[in-house]
Amino acid sequence: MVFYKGDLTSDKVTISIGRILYREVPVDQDQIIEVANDDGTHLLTVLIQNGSVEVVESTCKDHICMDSGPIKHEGQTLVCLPNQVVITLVSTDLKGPDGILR
Amino acid sequence: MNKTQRLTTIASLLALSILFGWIETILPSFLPNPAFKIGLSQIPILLALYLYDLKVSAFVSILKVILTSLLFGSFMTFLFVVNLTGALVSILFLAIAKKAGVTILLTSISSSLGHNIGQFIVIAYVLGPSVAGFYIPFILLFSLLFGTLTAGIAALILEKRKERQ
Repeated sequence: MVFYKGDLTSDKVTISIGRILYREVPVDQDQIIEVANDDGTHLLTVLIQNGSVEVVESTCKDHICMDSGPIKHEGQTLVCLPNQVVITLVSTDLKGPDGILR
Repeated sequence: MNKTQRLTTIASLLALSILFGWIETILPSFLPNPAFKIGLSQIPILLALYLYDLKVSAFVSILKVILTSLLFGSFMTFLFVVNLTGALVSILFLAIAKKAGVTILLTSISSSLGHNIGQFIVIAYVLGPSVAGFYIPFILLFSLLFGTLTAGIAALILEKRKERQ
């Protein structure tokens, strides 16, 4: 996806299953996250490396989540519809207004 | 057109729409997100509408979703619900377009738009509106683009068919 609010680099990755937040991690820490649902069934594997995020393995059939990545800009998402997993790059310092005119 | 001809034509349209839908999933995507599809399977559905009526078109459209899900093992899953809702809203839009008596181009675009709107209502409801909101500009753009493309192909087929008769 090439649609994001400005050229902002994000600092946080949120992973949700359905609407429930599963994990929230900083993007500058390289790591591998195994996403599993409530009863422990493995869904997919997320890789965070050099500030970009991608799904490296998934139990779904279409693998659209894997083909969509990697992402590195604020607002970009990776969605795995069959597993109902949403991975979003967010930024903590965006809570305020975008800019103030004086 | 006699009964057997009608039956075999509708069956062929259904088979074609399933085939087109499958071809799209195996072709590498050239779009910004591989989740977006051209919607080639809309061509037989449009043809069903113009060769017969809305009922036949709805029949092909719904059966296409059900048979595809049975073939690829997604029957009754979340993805199936997303696709079925897309098909249902698309039929609703087709019905409105048909009632309004607009051109095949507008009919195709509204059908494409309906498909996307239906899918995103379910996605927004289950995964949260922010996910769906991100894709809205693309939905509008691609519905216009690919709705036009499928309308063009369907219109061409209808024209060739008329020439032969």
